[in-house]
Amino acid sequence: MKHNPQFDETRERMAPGQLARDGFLGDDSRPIPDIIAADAAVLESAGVLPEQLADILDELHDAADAAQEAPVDLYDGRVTVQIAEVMGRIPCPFACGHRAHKACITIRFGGQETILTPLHAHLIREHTFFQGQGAPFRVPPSVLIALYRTARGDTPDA
Amino acid sequence: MVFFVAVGTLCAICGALAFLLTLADRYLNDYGLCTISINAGERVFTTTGGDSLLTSLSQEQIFIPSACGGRGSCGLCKLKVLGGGGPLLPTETPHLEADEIKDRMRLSCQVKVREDMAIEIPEALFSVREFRACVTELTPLTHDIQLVRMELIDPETIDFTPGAYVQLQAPEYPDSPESVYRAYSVASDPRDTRHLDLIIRRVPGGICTTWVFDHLTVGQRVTFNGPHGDFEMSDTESEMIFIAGGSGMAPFLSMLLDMVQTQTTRPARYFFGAVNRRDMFYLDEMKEFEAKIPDFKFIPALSNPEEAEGWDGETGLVTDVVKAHYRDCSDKEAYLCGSPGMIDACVKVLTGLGMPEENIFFDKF
Repeated sequence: MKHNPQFDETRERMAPGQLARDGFLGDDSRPIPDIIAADAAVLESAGVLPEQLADILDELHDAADAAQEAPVDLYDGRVTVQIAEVMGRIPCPFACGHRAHKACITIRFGGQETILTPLHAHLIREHTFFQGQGAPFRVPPSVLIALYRTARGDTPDA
Repeated sequence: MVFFVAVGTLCAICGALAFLLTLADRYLNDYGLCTISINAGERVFTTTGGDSLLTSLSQEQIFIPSACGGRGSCGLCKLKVLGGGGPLLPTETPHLEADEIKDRMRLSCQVKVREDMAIEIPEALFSVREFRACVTELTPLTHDIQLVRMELIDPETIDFTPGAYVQLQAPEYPDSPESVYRAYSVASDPRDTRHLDLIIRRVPGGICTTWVFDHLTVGQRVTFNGPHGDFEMSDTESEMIFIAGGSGMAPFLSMLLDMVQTQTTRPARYFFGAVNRRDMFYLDEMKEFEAKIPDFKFIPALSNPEEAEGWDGETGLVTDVVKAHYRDCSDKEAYLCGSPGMIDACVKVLTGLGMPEENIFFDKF
Protein backbone atom coordinates (compact mmCIF):
# COMPACT_ATOMS: atom_id res chain seq x y z
CA MET A 1 0.00 0.00 0.00
CA LYS A 2 1.20 3.52 -0.84
CA HIS A 3 2.97 5.33 1.98
CA ASN A 4 1.09 8.32 3.28
CA PRO A 5 3.02 10.75 5.54
CA GLN A 6 -0.18 11.24 7.57
CA PHE A 7 0.30 7.70 8.86
CA ASP A 8 3.58 8.79 10.52
CA GLU A 9 1.60 11.14 12.77
CA THR A 10 -1.03 8.45 13.31
CA ARG A 11 1.71 6.00 14.30
CA GLU A 12 2.95 8.51 16.90
CA ARG A 13 -0.55 8.86 18.34
CA MET A 14 -0.88 5.07 18.44
CA ALA A 15 2.32 4.59 20.42
CA PRO A 16 1.96 3.83 24.15
CA GLY A 17 1.35 7.11 25.91
CA GLN A 18 -1.14 9.88 25.59
CA LEU A 19 -4.21 8.13 24.20
CA ALA A 20 -3.90 4.61 25.56
CA ARG A 21 -1.38 3.29 28.04
CA ASP A 22 -0.36 0.33 25.90
CA GLY A 23 -1.00 2.01 22.57
CA PHE A 24 -2.75 0.53 19.56
CA LEU A 25 0.07 -1.24 17.77
CA GLY A 26 1.54 -3.74 20.22
CA ASP A 27 4.78 -5.12 18.83
CA ASP A 28 3.60 -4.81 15.24
CA SER A 29 6.32 -3.05 13.21
CA ARG A 30 4.41 -3.14 9.92
CA PRO A 31 3.31 0.17 8.42
CA ILE A 32 -0.27 0.99 9.41
CA PRO A 33 -1.56 0.66 5.83
CA ASP A 34 -0.12 -2.87 5.74
CA ILE A 35 -1.82 -3.81 9.03
CA ILE A 36 -5.10 -2.50 7.64
CA ALA A 37 -4.62 -4.28 4.31
CA ALA A 38 -3.87 -7.63 5.95
CA ASP A 39 -6.99 -7.48 8.14
CA ALA A 40 -9.11 -6.21 5.24
CA ALA A 41 -8.01 -9.25 3.24
CA VAL A 42 -9.31 -11.55 6.01
CA LEU A 43 -12.68 -9.81 5.88
CA GLU A 44 -12.79 -9.96 2.12
CA SER A 45 -12.09 -13.66 2.01
CA ALA A 46 -14.87 -14.21 4.53
CA GLY A 47 -17.26 -12.05 2.54
CA VAL A 48 -17.92 -9.74 5.49
CA LEU A 49 -17.79 -5.95 5.35
CA PRO A 50 -16.27 -3.80 8.12
CA GLU A 51 -19.62 -2.01 8.41
CA GLN A 52 -21.38 -5.29 9.18
CA LEU A 53 -19.01 -6.00 12.07
CA ALA A 54 -19.30 -2.42 13.31
CA ASP A 55 -23.10 -2.63 13.16
CA ILE A 56 -23.07 -5.70 15.42
CA LEU A 57 -20.67 -4.03 17.84
CA ASP A 58 -22.86 -0.92 17.94
CA GLU A 59 -25.94 -3.09 18.61
CA LEU A 60 -24.14 -4.84 21.46
CA HIS A 61 -22.92 -1.52 22.86
CA ASP A 62 -26.41 0.00 22.75
CA ALA A 63 -27.95 -3.05 24.45
CA ALA A 64 -25.26 -3.09 27.14
CA ASP A 65 -25.64 0.65 27.68
CA ALA A 66 -29.39 0.26 28.14
CA ALA A 67 -28.78 -2.46 30.73
CA GLN A 68 -26.66 -0.02 32.76
CA GLU A 69 -23.80 -2.41 33.45
CA ALA A 70 -25.92 -5.52 34.14
CA PRO A 71 -25.26 -8.49 31.79
CA VAL A 72 -27.76 -8.85 28.98
CA ASP A 73 -28.48 -11.76 26.62
CA LEU A 74 -29.02 -11.08 22.95
CA TYR A 75 -29.77 -12.98 19.74
CA ASP A 76 -31.80 -15.69 21.52
CA GLY A 77 -29.16 -16.03 24.21
CA ARG A 78 -26.32 -16.78 21.81
CA VAL A 79 -24.44 -13.65 22.85
CA THR A 80 -24.12 -12.10 26.32
CA VAL A 81 -22.79 -8.58 26.71
CA GLN A 82 -21.93 -6.47 29.72
CA ILE A 83 -20.46 -2.99 29.89
CA ALA A 84 -18.36 -1.29 32.55
CA GLU A 85 -18.30 2.42 31.83
CA VAL A 86 -16.17 5.16 33.27
CA MET A 87 -16.19 8.88 32.77
CA GLY A 88 -14.13 10.30 29.97
CA ARG A 89 -13.64 9.80 26.29
CA ILE A 90 -10.82 8.52 24.15
CA PRO A 91 -10.07 10.26 20.87
CA CYS A 92 -9.66 8.28 17.65
CA PRO A 93 -5.92 7.90 16.99
CA PHE A 94 -6.54 8.74 13.31
CA ALA A 95 -7.45 12.26 14.58
CA CYS A 96 -10.68 12.28 12.61
CA GLY A 97 -12.42 14.10 15.45
CA HIS A 98 -14.33 11.08 16.80
CA ARG A 99 -14.23 10.67 20.57
CA ALA A 100 -15.55 7.40 21.98
CA HIS A 101 -16.83 6.90 25.51
CA LYS A 102 -14.47 4.97 27.72
CA ALA A 103 -15.82 1.55 28.63
CA CYS A 104 -15.01 -2.14 28.62
CA ILE A 105 -17.56 -4.20 26.74
CA THR A 106 -17.30 -7.88 27.63
CA ILE A 107 -18.84 -10.14 25.00
CA ARG A 108 -19.40 -13.85 25.58
CA PHE A 109 -20.38 -16.10 22.68
CA GLY A 110 -19.70 -19.65 21.52
CA GLY A 111 -17.75 -20.48 24.66
CA GLN A 112 -15.35 -17.59 24.29
CA GLU A 113 -15.04 -14.16 25.86
CA THR A 114 -13.68 -11.05 24.23
CA ILE A 115 -13.30 -7.53 25.55
CA LEU A 116 -13.75 -4.46 23.38
CA THR A 117 -14.24 -0.75 23.84
CA PRO A 118 -16.73 1.57 22.12
CA LEU A 119 -13.80 2.82 20.01
CA HIS A 120 -13.52 -0.55 18.24
CA ALA A 121 -16.72 -0.10 16.23
CA HIS A 122 -15.54 3.29 15.01
CA LEU A 123 -12.02 2.08 14.16
CA ILE A 124 -13.44 -0.84 12.20
CA ARG A 125 -16.22 1.08 10.45
CA GLU A 126 -14.25 4.18 9.49
CA HIS A 127 -10.66 2.95 9.27
CA THR A 128 -10.85 -0.87 8.90
CA PHE A 129 -8.39 -0.92 11.78
CA PHE A 130 -8.36 -3.81 14.26
CA GLN A 131 -5.12 -2.66 15.99
CA GLY A 132 -1.62 -4.13 15.64
CA GLN A 133 -0.46 -7.62 16.56
CA GLY A 134 0.23 -7.81 20.29
CA ALA A 135 -1.86 -4.76 21.19
CA PRO A 136 -3.86 -5.63 24.34
CA PHE A 137 -7.13 -4.49 22.79
CA ARG A 138 -6.58 -6.01 19.36
CA VAL A 139 -9.47 -8.28 18.44
CA PRO A 140 -8.59 -10.25 15.30
CA PRO A 141 -11.06 -10.05 12.42
CA SER A 142 -11.57 -13.83 12.66
CA VAL A 143 -13.01 -13.45 16.18
CA LEU A 144 -15.37 -10.69 15.13
CA ILE A 145 -16.41 -12.61 12.03
CA ALA A 146 -17.28 -15.53 14.33
CA LEU A 147 -19.23 -13.12 16.56
CA TYR A 148 -21.07 -11.74 13.54
CA ARG A 149 -22.02 -15.22 12.38
CA THR A 150 -23.07 -16.30 15.86
CA ALA A 151 -25.26 -13.21 16.19
CA ARG A 152 -26.85 -13.99 12.83
CA GLY A 153 -27.37 -17.58 13.92
CA ASP A 154 -25.53 -19.08 10.95
CA THR A 155 -22.69 -20.95 12.67
CA PRO A 156 -22.55 -24.30 14.42
CA ASP A 157 -21.99 -22.33 17.67
CA ALA A 158 -25.49 -21.01 17.29
CA MET B 1 12.00 -0.08 -11.44
CA VAL B 2 13.24 3.38 -12.47
CA PHE B 3 9.79 4.74 -11.61
CA PHE B 4 9.91 3.37 -8.04
CA VAL B 5 13.46 4.69 -7.52
CA ALA B 6 12.33 8.14 -8.74
CA VAL B 7 9.25 8.15 -6.50
CA GLY B 8 11.30 6.89 -3.55
CA THR B 9 13.95 9.58 -4.10
CA LEU B 10 11.29 12.29 -4.36
CA CYS B 11 9.66 11.08 -1.13
CA ALA B 12 13.03 11.05 0.64
CA ILE B 13 13.81 14.61 -0.55
CA CYS B 14 10.36 15.84 0.56
CA GLY B 15 10.76 14.13 3.93
CA ALA B 16 14.20 15.66 4.44
CA LEU B 17 12.93 19.12 3.49
CA ALA B 18 9.98 18.82 5.88
CA PHE B 19 12.38 17.76 8.63
CA LEU B 20 14.68 20.71 7.92
CA LEU B 21 11.73 23.12 7.91
CA THR B 22 10.61 21.78 11.30
CA LEU B 23 14.12 22.18 12.68
CA ALA B 24 14.40 25.70 11.25
CA ASP B 25 11.02 26.65 12.69
CA ARG B 26 12.05 25.29 16.07
CA TYR B 27 15.57 26.69 16.35
CA LEU B 28 16.08 29.47 13.80
CA ASN B 29 12.78 31.33 13.70
CA ASP B 30 12.65 34.15 16.17
CA TYR B 31 9.14 35.38 16.71
CA GLY B 32 10.34 37.72 19.45
CA LEU B 33 8.07 38.71 22.26
CA CYS B 34 4.35 38.38 21.59
CA THR B 35 1.57 39.92 23.63
CA ILE B 36 -1.53 37.88 24.40
CA SER B 37 -4.63 39.76 25.44
CA ILE B 38 -7.33 37.70 27.15
CA ASN B 39 -10.99 38.69 27.31
CA ALA B 40 -10.60 42.18 25.87
CA GLY B 41 -7.58 43.08 27.97
CA GLU B 42 -8.85 41.68 31.28
CA ARG B 43 -5.48 39.99 31.47
CA VAL B 44 -2.50 40.69 29.22
CA PHE B 45 0.86 38.94 29.23
CA THR B 46 3.96 38.82 27.09
CA THR B 47 5.59 35.57 26.03
CA THR B 48 8.37 34.43 23.74
CA GLY B 49 6.81 33.31 20.48
CA GLY B 50 7.16 29.82 19.09
CA ASP B 51 5.22 27.70 21.57
CA SER B 52 1.64 26.56 21.22
CA LEU B 53 -1.03 28.80 22.67
CA LEU B 54 -1.93 26.01 25.13
CA THR B 55 1.67 25.85 26.39
CA SER B 56 2.02 29.64 26.57
CA LEU B 57 -1.16 29.88 28.64
CA SER B 58 -0.13 27.10 31.02
CA GLN B 59 3.23 28.86 31.55
CA GLU B 60 1.12 31.79 32.76
CA GLN B 61 -0.80 29.44 35.10
CA ILE B 62 -3.89 29.51 32.92
CA PHE B 63 -4.96 25.89 32.49
CA ILE B 64 -7.16 25.00 29.54
CA PRO B 65 -8.63 21.48 29.91
CA SER B 66 -6.86 18.99 27.64
CA ALA B 67 -6.90 15.20 27.68
CA CYS B 68 -4.31 14.35 25.03
CA GLY B 69 -1.37 16.46 26.16
CA GLY B 70 -1.57 18.87 23.23
CA ARG B 71 -1.47 16.35 20.41
CA GLY B 72 -4.56 17.63 18.67
CA SER B 73 -6.48 14.44 19.31
CA CYS B 74 -8.98 15.17 22.06
CA GLY B 75 -10.40 18.49 20.87
CA LEU B 76 -10.99 19.69 24.42
CA CYS B 77 -8.71 22.75 24.44
CA LYS B 78 -10.97 24.92 22.28
CA LEU B 79 -10.99 28.66 22.82
CA LYS B 80 -11.85 31.73 20.81
CA VAL B 81 -9.01 33.42 18.88
CA LEU B 82 -10.08 36.90 17.86
CA GLY B 83 -6.74 38.15 16.53
CA GLY B 84 -3.48 36.48 15.45
CA GLY B 85 -3.03 32.74 15.38
CA GLY B 86 -2.78 32.31 11.60
CA PRO B 87 -5.15 30.28 9.44
CA LEU B 88 -7.17 27.29 10.63
CA LEU B 89 -5.05 24.13 10.33
CA PRO B 90 -6.13 20.78 8.88
CA THR B 91 -5.39 19.22 12.28
CA GLU B 92 -8.10 21.41 13.85
CA THR B 93 -10.98 21.09 11.41
CA PRO B 94 -12.09 17.56 12.40
CA HIS B 95 -12.73 18.84 15.94
CA LEU B 96 -14.66 21.98 15.04
CA GLU B 97 -18.29 22.35 13.99
CA ALA B 98 -19.16 24.87 11.27
CA ASP B 99 -20.66 27.31 13.78
CA GLU B 100 -17.55 27.02 15.97
CA ILE B 101 -15.32 27.88 13.01
CA LYS B 102 -17.58 30.84 12.25
CA ASP B 103 -17.29 31.82 15.91
CA ARG B 104 -13.45 31.75 15.59
CA MET B 105 -12.93 28.78 17.87
CA ARG B 106 -9.53 27.12 17.59
CA LEU B 107 -7.66 24.26 19.23
CA SER B 108 -5.20 26.04 21.50
CA CYS B 109 -2.72 23.15 21.27
CA GLN B 110 -2.44 23.58 17.50
CA VAL B 111 -2.27 27.37 17.33
CA LYS B 112 1.32 28.64 17.45
CA VAL B 113 2.07 31.97 19.11
CA ARG B 114 3.90 33.85 16.36
CA GLU B 115 2.42 37.34 16.72
CA ASP B 116 0.34 39.38 19.13
CA MET B 117 -2.93 37.65 19.83
CA ALA B 118 -6.35 38.40 21.27
CA ILE B 119 -8.28 35.48 22.74
CA GLU B 120 -11.40 34.77 24.79
CA ILE B 121 -11.66 32.10 27.48
CA PRO B 122 -14.38 31.29 30.03
CA GLU B 123 -14.02 33.53 33.07
CA ALA B 124 -13.90 30.51 35.39
CA LEU B 125 -10.56 29.39 33.95
CA PHE B 126 -8.85 32.35 35.63
CA SER B 127 -9.47 30.74 39.00
CA VAL B 128 -7.99 27.39 37.97
CA ARG B 129 -4.64 26.78 39.64
CA GLU B 130 -2.03 24.05 39.66
CA PHE B 131 -1.67 22.31 43.01
CA ARG B 132 0.94 20.04 44.51
CA ALA B 133 -0.31 17.63 47.14
CA CYS B 134 0.74 14.60 49.15
CA VAL B 135 -1.29 11.38 49.11
CA THR B 136 -2.36 10.59 52.67
CA GLU B 137 -4.82 7.74 52.10
CA LEU B 138 -5.59 5.11 49.48
CA THR B 139 -8.67 3.11 50.43
CA PRO B 140 -10.32 0.46 48.25
CA LEU B 141 -14.08 1.06 48.23
CA THR B 142 -15.01 -1.82 45.92
CA HIS B 143 -13.10 -4.31 43.77
CA ASP B 144 -12.45 -1.57 41.18
CA ILE B 145 -13.05 1.75 42.96
CA GLN B 146 -10.57 3.51 45.22
CA LEU B 147 -10.60 6.60 47.41
CA VAL B 148 -7.56 8.85 47.00
CA ARG B 149 -7.12 11.42 49.77
CA MET B 150 -4.55 14.19 49.40
CA GLU B 151 -3.19 16.92 51.62
CA LEU B 152 -2.42 20.12 49.76
CA ILE B 153 1.15 21.43 49.84
CA ASP B 154 1.35 24.32 47.39
CA PRO B 155 -0.94 26.19 47.46
CA GLU B 156 -1.98 24.93 50.88
CA THR B 157 -5.71 25.40 50.37
CA ILE B 158 -8.29 25.11 47.61
CA ASP B 159 -11.70 26.71 47.24
CA PHE B 160 -14.25 24.80 45.23
CA THR B 161 -17.97 24.37 44.90
CA PRO B 162 -19.41 20.89 45.54
CA GLY B 163 -19.69 19.22 42.11
CA ALA B 164 -16.38 20.55 40.79
CA TYR B 165 -13.73 18.36 39.20
CA VAL B 166 -9.95 18.53 39.00
CA GLN B 167 -7.45 17.25 36.44
CA LEU B 168 -5.04 14.85 38.07
CA GLN B 169 -1.63 14.44 36.46
CA ALA B 170 -0.36 10.90 36.03
CA PRO B 171 3.41 11.27 35.68
CA GLU B 172 5.62 9.06 33.52
CA TYR B 173 5.86 5.53 34.87
CA PRO B 174 7.01 2.16 33.50
CA ASP B 175 5.00 1.39 30.32
CA SER B 176 3.64 4.94 30.19
CA PRO B 177 6.31 7.21 28.77
CA GLU B 178 4.50 10.56 28.99
CA SER B 179 2.55 12.34 31.67
CA VAL B 180 -1.17 12.89 31.11
CA TYR B 181 -4.05 14.67 32.83
CA ARG B 182 -7.39 13.03 33.57
CA ALA B 183 -10.55 14.56 35.08
CA TYR B 184 -12.05 13.37 38.39
CA SER B 185 -14.87 14.86 40.47
CA VAL B 186 -14.00 16.05 43.96
CA ALA B 187 -15.57 13.97 46.73
CA SER B 188 -14.56 15.98 49.79
CA ASP B 189 -16.08 18.64 52.02
CA PRO B 190 -15.55 22.09 50.48
CA ARG B 191 -14.92 23.45 53.99
CA ASP B 192 -11.92 21.19 54.43
CA THR B 193 -9.81 23.35 52.15
CA ARG B 194 -6.54 21.60 53.01
CA HIS B 195 -7.58 18.19 51.70
CA LEU B 196 -9.03 16.82 48.51
CA ASP B 197 -10.69 13.42 48.02
CA LEU B 198 -11.16 11.69 44.68
CA ILE B 199 -13.07 8.48 43.97
CA ILE B 200 -11.47 6.69 41.05
CA ARG B 201 -12.63 3.62 39.16
CA ARG B 202 -10.05 1.46 37.46
CA VAL B 203 -10.12 1.50 33.67
CA PRO B 204 -8.46 -1.64 32.26
CA GLY B 205 -5.44 -0.38 30.34
CA GLY B 206 -6.16 3.20 31.41
CA ILE B 207 -3.06 5.37 31.74
CA CYS B 208 -4.08 7.35 34.80
CA THR B 209 -6.08 4.72 36.67
CA THR B 210 -3.35 2.09 36.20
CA TRP B 211 -0.98 4.57 37.80
CA VAL B 212 -3.42 5.26 40.66
CA PHE B 213 -4.12 1.57 41.37
CA ASP B 214 -0.72 0.01 40.66
CA HIS B 215 1.90 2.69 41.27
CA LEU B 216 0.59 5.46 43.51
CA THR B 217 1.54 5.12 47.18
CA VAL B 218 0.74 6.93 50.41
CA GLY B 219 3.23 9.75 50.91
CA GLN B 220 3.76 10.31 47.20
CA ARG B 221 3.62 13.85 45.80
CA VAL B 222 1.07 14.49 43.07
CA THR B 223 0.03 17.40 40.87
CA PHE B 224 -3.45 18.43 39.78
CA ASN B 225 -5.15 21.52 38.44
CA GLY B 226 -8.61 22.84 39.11
CA PRO B 227 -11.29 23.43 40.11
CA HIS B 228 -13.16 22.95 36.84
CA GLY B 229 -16.79 22.57 35.81
CA ASP B 230 -20.13 24.16 36.46
CA PHE B 231 -21.95 21.15 37.91
CA GLU B 232 -23.34 22.55 41.18
CA MET B 233 -26.52 22.70 43.25
CA SER B 234 -28.87 25.48 42.22
CA ASP B 235 -29.99 28.01 44.82
CA THR B 236 -33.70 27.15 44.57
CA GLU B 237 -35.70 25.22 47.17
CA SER B 238 -36.87 22.54 44.72
CA GLU B 239 -36.49 18.91 45.69
CA MET B 240 -33.20 17.54 44.37
CA ILE B 241 -32.98 14.09 42.83
CA PHE B 242 -29.40 12.82 42.77
CA ILE B 243 -28.75 9.83 40.51
CA ALA B 244 -25.37 8.12 40.27
CA GLY B 245 -23.58 4.87 39.68
CA GLY B 246 -20.00 3.70 40.36
CA SER B 247 -17.46 6.48 40.84
CA GLY B 248 -20.30 8.92 40.10
CA MET B 249 -20.69 8.90 43.89
CA ALA B 250 -17.95 11.55 44.22
CA PRO B 251 -19.69 14.89 43.57
CA PHE B 252 -22.73 13.88 45.64
CA LEU B 253 -20.55 13.00 48.59
CA SER B 254 -19.14 16.52 48.43
CA MET B 255 -22.65 17.99 48.13
CA LEU B 256 -23.95 15.94 51.08
CA LEU B 257 -21.01 16.97 53.25
CA ASP B 258 -21.84 20.56 52.36
CA MET B 259 -25.54 20.02 53.11
CA VAL B 260 -24.67 18.71 56.58
CA GLN B 261 -22.75 21.92 57.28
CA THR B 262 -25.41 24.26 55.94
CA GLN B 263 -28.20 22.30 57.70
CA THR B 264 -30.35 22.71 54.62
CA THR B 265 -33.98 21.64 54.86
CA ARG B 266 -34.21 21.34 51.11
CA PRO B 267 -35.54 17.87 50.20
CA ALA B 268 -33.06 15.54 48.51
CA ARG B 269 -33.32 11.94 47.32
CA TYR B 270 -30.23 10.05 46.22
CA PHE B 271 -30.65 7.04 43.91
CA PHE B 272 -27.45 5.02 43.55
CA GLY B 273 -27.29 2.15 41.07
CA ALA B 274 -24.93 -0.82 41.03
CA VAL B 275 -24.97 -4.27 39.44
CA ASN B 276 -24.53 -6.36 42.59
CA ARG B 277 -23.50 -6.05 46.21
CA ARG B 278 -19.78 -6.00 45.51
CA ASP B 279 -20.25 -2.80 43.48
CA MET B 280 -22.06 -1.02 46.32
CA PHE B 281 -20.20 1.16 48.84
CA TYR B 282 -20.67 3.87 51.49
CA LEU B 283 -23.99 2.39 52.69
CA ASP B 284 -23.16 3.18 56.34
CA GLU B 285 -22.00 6.68 55.47
CA MET B 286 -25.28 7.30 53.64
CA LYS B 287 -27.24 6.20 56.72
CA GLU B 288 -25.29 8.79 58.69
CA PHE B 289 -26.21 11.45 56.16
CA GLU B 290 -29.88 10.45 56.50
CA ALA B 291 -29.57 11.09 60.22
CA LYS B 292 -27.78 14.41 59.82
CA ILE B 293 -29.65 16.01 56.90
CA PRO B 294 -33.29 16.78 57.77
CA ASP B 295 -35.00 15.77 54.52
CA PHE B 296 -32.57 13.40 52.83
CA LYS B 297 -33.07 9.79 51.78
CA PHE B 298 -30.64 7.38 50.15
CA ILE B 299 -32.12 4.76 47.81
CA PRO B 300 -29.56 2.19 46.62
CA ALA B 301 -30.58 -0.21 43.87
CA LEU B 302 -28.99 -3.35 42.49
CA SER B 303 -29.74 -4.29 38.89
CA ASN B 304 -28.50 -7.86 39.13
CA PRO B 305 -28.30 -9.00 42.77
CA GLU B 306 -27.31 -12.56 43.54
CA GLU B 307 -29.53 -14.53 45.91
CA ALA B 308 -26.67 -15.31 48.26
CA GLU B 309 -26.09 -11.60 48.80
CA GLY B 310 -29.32 -11.28 50.78
CA TRP B 311 -30.07 -7.85 49.32
CA ASP B 312 -33.32 -6.43 50.68
CA GLY B 313 -33.15 -3.04 49.01
CA GLU B 314 -34.49 -1.88 45.67
CA THR B 315 -33.76 -4.00 42.62
CA GLY B 316 -33.75 -3.17 38.93
CA LEU B 317 -32.20 -0.47 36.81
CA VAL B 318 -31.76 2.74 38.78
CA THR B 319 -33.84 4.55 36.17
CA ASP B 320 -36.74 2.13 36.77
CA VAL B 321 -36.43 2.67 40.51
CA VAL B 322 -36.63 6.45 39.96
CA LYS B 323 -39.66 5.94 37.75
CA ALA B 324 -41.36 3.87 40.46
CA HIS B 325 -40.79 6.61 43.05
CA TYR B 326 -42.29 9.55 41.18
CA ARG B 327 -45.38 10.35 39.20
CA ASP B 328 -44.57 13.97 38.45
CA CYS B 329 -41.14 15.58 38.46
CA SER B 330 -42.14 18.88 36.89
CA ASP B 331 -41.25 20.88 40.03
CA LYS B 332 -38.05 19.02 40.87
CA GLU B 333 -34.40 19.18 39.84
CA ALA B 334 -32.11 16.29 38.94
CA TYR B 335 -28.35 15.99 39.33
CA LEU B 336 -26.70 13.13 37.46
CA CYS B 337 -23.23 11.62 37.55
CA GLY B 338 -22.34 8.33 35.96
CA SER B 339 -21.83 6.58 32.67
CA PRO B 340 -23.08 8.20 29.47
CA GLY B 341 -25.56 5.35 29.08
CA MET B 342 -26.98 5.95 32.54
CA ILE B 343 -27.18 9.69 32.00
CA ASP B 344 -29.00 9.32 28.67
CA ALA B 345 -31.46 6.86 30.25
CA CYS B 346 -32.02 9.18 33.22
CA VAL B 347 -32.73 12.19 31.02
CA LYS B 348 -35.28 10.14 29.09
CA VAL B 349 -37.04 8.96 32.25
CA LEU B 350 -37.00 12.35 33.97
CA THR B 351 -38.30 14.31 30.98
CA GLY B 352 -40.94 11.59 30.64
CA LEU B 353 -41.96 12.40 34.21
CA GLY B 354 -42.40 16.05 33.26
CA MET B 355 -39.06 17.44 34.39
CA PRO B 356 -37.95 20.36 32.20
CA GLU B 357 -34.56 19.66 30.58
CA GLU B 358 -33.17 22.86 32.08
CA ASN B 359 -33.72 21.32 35.53
CA ILE B 360 -31.44 18.37 34.74
CA PHE B 361 -27.78 18.97 35.55
CA PHE B 362 -24.74 16.84 34.73
CA ASP B 363 -21.14 17.14 33.63
CA LYS B 364 -20.46 15.50 30.28
CA PHE B 365 -16.88 14.33 30.52
